[in-house]
Amino acid sequence: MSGIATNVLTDGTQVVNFNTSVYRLNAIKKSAYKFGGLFHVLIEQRDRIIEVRLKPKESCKSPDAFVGEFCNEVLDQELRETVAEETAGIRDLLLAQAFSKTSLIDSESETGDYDSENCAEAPGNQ
Amino acid sequence: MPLSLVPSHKKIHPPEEFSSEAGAYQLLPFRFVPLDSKKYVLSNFVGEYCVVEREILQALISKTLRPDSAAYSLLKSRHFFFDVGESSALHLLATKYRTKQTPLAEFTSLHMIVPTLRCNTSCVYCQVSHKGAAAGSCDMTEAAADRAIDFMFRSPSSHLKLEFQGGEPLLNFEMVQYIIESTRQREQQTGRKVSIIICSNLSLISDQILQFCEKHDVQFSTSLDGPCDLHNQNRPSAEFDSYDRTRIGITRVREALGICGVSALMTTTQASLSRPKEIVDEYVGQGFKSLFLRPINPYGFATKAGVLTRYSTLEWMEFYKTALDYIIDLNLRGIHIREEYAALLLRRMLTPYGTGFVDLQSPAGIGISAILFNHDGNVYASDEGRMLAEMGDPHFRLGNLLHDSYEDMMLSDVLIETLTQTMTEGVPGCSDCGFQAYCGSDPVRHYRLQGDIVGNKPTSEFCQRHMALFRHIIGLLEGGGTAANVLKGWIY
Repeated sequence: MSGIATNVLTDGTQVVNFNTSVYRLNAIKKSAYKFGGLFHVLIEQRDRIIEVRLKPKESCKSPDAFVGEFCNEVLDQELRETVAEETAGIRDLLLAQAFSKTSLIDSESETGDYDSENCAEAPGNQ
Repeated sequence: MPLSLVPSHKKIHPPEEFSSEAGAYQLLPFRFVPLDSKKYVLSNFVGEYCVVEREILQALISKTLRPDSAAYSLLKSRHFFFDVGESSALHLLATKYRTKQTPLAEFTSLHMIVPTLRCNTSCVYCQVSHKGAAAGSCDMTEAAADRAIDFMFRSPSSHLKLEFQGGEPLLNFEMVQYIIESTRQREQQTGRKVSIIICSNLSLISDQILQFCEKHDVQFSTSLDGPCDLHNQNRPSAEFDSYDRTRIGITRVREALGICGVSALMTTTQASLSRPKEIVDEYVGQGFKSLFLRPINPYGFATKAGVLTRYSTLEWMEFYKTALDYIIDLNLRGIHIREEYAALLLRRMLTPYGTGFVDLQSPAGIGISAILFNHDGNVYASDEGRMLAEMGDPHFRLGNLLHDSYEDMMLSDVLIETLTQTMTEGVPGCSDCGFQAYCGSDPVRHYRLQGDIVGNKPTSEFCQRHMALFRHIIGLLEGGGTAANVLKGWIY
């Protein structure tokens, strides 16, 4: 898997390294939360590497498979981070607009003059 | 045509000016969650969803979707992105979001009153640790009832609903009568309307009770757990045949109040798991047009007797899927019956309107969607909060009708703190979930099972169950055909 290196310790802990040029810490933290029912998770960052230690809980019947799932989850969380980053401003605007009595999106549509839209030749305006 | 009637062409642009350039779009806020190993459910700012393959999701976010592709048109029309400079999508989304949040301004609709904790059945899953029929100290006083009615009419809700819970409310019918008559009088004084429901096992139904209910426009809700042996196993009584009394009661209520005079719901025990079709058949046989397939609640005798731990979420889901498939099949054969759990999820998924279902609100529906007045005047943020108090933990007690004001209770720390912490838009594990718009918070259940009102979602039974329900229903809708049509027909 690109950007991911894994290692298994003697106590069964799986160590996964993520390159910070590929993955954000936030995406890894959110993935760790999601897999908290299966693993005890420890996250450390050194320079450009984020090391994740995944120690299987008793309920984790197939650790290898779930470590793979964890890596895929980090990819999904990366996509979510991208969407959240790009849409943060629009999200705030939508929330403000939803509860505003005036338009915050395009004030012209609230104050625009019908005649100024060059409709002078329409029959009703003759 | 006279020249003056020819419209100006200044504003009419050639078609190519309306076509989008690849990558020239702006993403709108959306969430996503895997549906299965290949497909993802994407839900937009207001919860309208699309199911796409992962490649499409990735292309959408990396802005490599081809403008002439079907996915481009679909995702644009569902407001997952918009062309830069065009604002209609923003206006529409903001309006839909406001519509979806409207119920919050309505405030408390459902007001539950427990006129007595006495009961004449000993249900294996009883959630409130029922008392014997002779335990008179478990009855509500007129003073507490008066304050409960005052409290209810303080709510700004335009759809007030009063529900009698128990115990068995009909064991203290005098108090039920008093409250209903007082409520109807107050309606006339205020010009407001209250729907009234008595939740009862119907064992004590009499002509006198039915005449009163007909006069005051009162309906019933009862429990019907399935065929005779299953019902009696779950809801035994030392005094009578529980199933027979309920069956006869249903018939008598319908004769007096009409077919809609009584609705029913079931609770799943381990004994129910192998009998989904028989349970559905029982409802069909008794002429019901709907049933609510409910898992057991983790309160009261359900935990003491160990009933709660006897089946897993996965086992309940298998039971539910089998029953739902069977119900859909019955509908396709012309027998119209609706499964209420699916119906309310579908309403949340496919319409801009909310539901009053307390368990699926964000912030949590406790206190602000429903509230409960116990027989002793104690006020709880939900029925489950009362159940927890009966187990010895009054965490969700807001105050007492006789000692505390409306403001004291509705602004109490426990309520405000719970509401603040249970907005799924900001809860770990929920904030990014593709099902966030349909789901909600159940702080009492999480507090009970995990010791925390927010709860740990990866290990939450509530989360597992609803994720599985959403996936199953979306899977059925995506499968198209007749099953999807049946499900869509249940939305109301």
